[in-house]
Amino acid sequence: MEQSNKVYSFILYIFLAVCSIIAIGPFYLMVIMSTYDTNALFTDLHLLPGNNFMINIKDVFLNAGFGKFYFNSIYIAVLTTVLTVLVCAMCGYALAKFNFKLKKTAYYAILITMMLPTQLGLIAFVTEMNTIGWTDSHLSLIVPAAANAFAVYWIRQYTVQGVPTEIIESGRMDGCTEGGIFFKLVVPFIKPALGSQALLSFMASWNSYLLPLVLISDQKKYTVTLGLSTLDALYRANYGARIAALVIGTIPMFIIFLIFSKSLIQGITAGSVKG
Amino acid sequence: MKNLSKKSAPYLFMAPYFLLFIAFSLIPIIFTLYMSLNEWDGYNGVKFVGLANYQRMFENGEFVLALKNTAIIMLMLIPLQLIFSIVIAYMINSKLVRHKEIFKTAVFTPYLVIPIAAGLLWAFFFDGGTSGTINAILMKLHILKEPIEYLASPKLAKVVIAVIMLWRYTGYCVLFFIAGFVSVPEELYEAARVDGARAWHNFWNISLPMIKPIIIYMVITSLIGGFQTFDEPNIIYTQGNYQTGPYSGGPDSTVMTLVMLMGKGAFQNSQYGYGSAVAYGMFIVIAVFSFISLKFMNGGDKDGAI
Repeated sequence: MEQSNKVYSFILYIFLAVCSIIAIGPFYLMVIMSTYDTNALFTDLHLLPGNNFMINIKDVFLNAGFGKFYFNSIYIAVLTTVLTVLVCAMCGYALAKFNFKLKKTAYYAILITMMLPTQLGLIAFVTEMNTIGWTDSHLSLIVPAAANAFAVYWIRQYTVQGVPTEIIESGRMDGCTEGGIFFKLVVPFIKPALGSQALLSFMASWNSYLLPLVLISDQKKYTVTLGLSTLDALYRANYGARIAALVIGTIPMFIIFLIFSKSLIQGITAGSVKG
Repeated sequence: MKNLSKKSAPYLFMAPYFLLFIAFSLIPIIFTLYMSLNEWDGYNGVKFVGLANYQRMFENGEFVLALKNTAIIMLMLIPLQLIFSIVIAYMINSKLVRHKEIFKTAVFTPYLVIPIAAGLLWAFFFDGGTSGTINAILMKLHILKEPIEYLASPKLAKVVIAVIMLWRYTGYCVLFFIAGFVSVPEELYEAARVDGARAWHNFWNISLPMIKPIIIYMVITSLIGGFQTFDEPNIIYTQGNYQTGPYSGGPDSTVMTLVMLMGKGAFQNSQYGYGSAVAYGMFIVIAVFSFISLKFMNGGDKDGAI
């Protein structure tokens, strides 16, 4: 009995270790490759770090203006995140804790929206942005993204379960305004959900590629993904710098995961387990 | 805010969301449907053409090609992704495994890489020369004698896309299945004996049926996401040694996807009506597949995840 348990757990560990290596391997190779110059990259396969990292980084930021793209991506992602959380939390709260005429209709609208492909209205959306003069403006990447049906859906779920209605009632008795009740009494209860949603929104904004591709053409307004999509033009045959750019583009996600992994995982799996 | 009464409060709380939703989602969605029935180059007048765009997209074979490409990639990807992620999640969740967080973090890491960065990274690995990482490794191990041109081959290019997506999304799926396995009540498992045979029995007869709703959820979301694949196949052929241009889909358009076809129509060829028709064609395909998989996988019972 003991014996077979040991064998079984040994097999488990081996299997999981192999899977982990397959998952991390390419990631590791990417980081390692960013520390070599182009020549070295093409002559041999390297498994240990080289010493060209700082030069590659300098190439990335100085020669190609990647710093500007980086700044753009960060502020776009931050503003998108703040706006999404604010807009969707208010909507989720209204659907969770009030009774009103259009409640069912509004809720079904959210559910149906969640099932639509995100790209369905893209072409008319781009035309719309053209019409109102938002092409080549970061507004087109920030404002429309704030209406996120999934965010409303799960903040509503969380509010239904996590916020005692008595708190809201007692707030009204004490003469709080409705806005005051939401921001001072409700928000502290739903902070975990808002935090998770913030991470998801940041990540989605950071990864976004098709939207900036079709909306932004002015190179000064490029995001990191657009910068990466033009590595060819930016760095020519400097492959060390190219790989370094990939690493630099990924670092923010990595930092966020290291700090907030619990919250991020909770957000990712929010929709499924209790559908 | 002061005069906000309890009656008007919910409407005001919902207003920002619905204003943005109507302005930037609903109106474009409806207008895209309208555009799909018209011909428009983005500048000159709009001309009503009825269903001609839809007819054209089937007659020239582009829509079916994009659909077939995506379906083949999904057929390689989704079963493997499900099997791997379920098995990995089950193992991480096993009582015999400590260091759960380490394994969980490790398999999740690829998801942190920007999709197009993942595409570019793997394009580098799959480079056809002797210095391409995968060729180099296989040749060092004497498995290959000559380097393989993965990205120049219409057949292998699809495999490459499936591999990239398998790498990036398996760990993501693992999170869902771990959450599922954790929520299976302990009492359901017989005794505390966890030898190999018993573990297999438990897996097959208890754990797997309990996470069926999550499996259905993952299949449907994978299909919905899969049919909208764009980033990875587009970036690989936008630059580098194998470039055939944006929205081109590589050699013989082998990895041309539906979203790519839509983009090619609207943003490359300025055929907004045609691109819009592709968008609605994609919508119908996704709706049909989601419906079928929901029906098919739900069998008799009605307690699905969605």
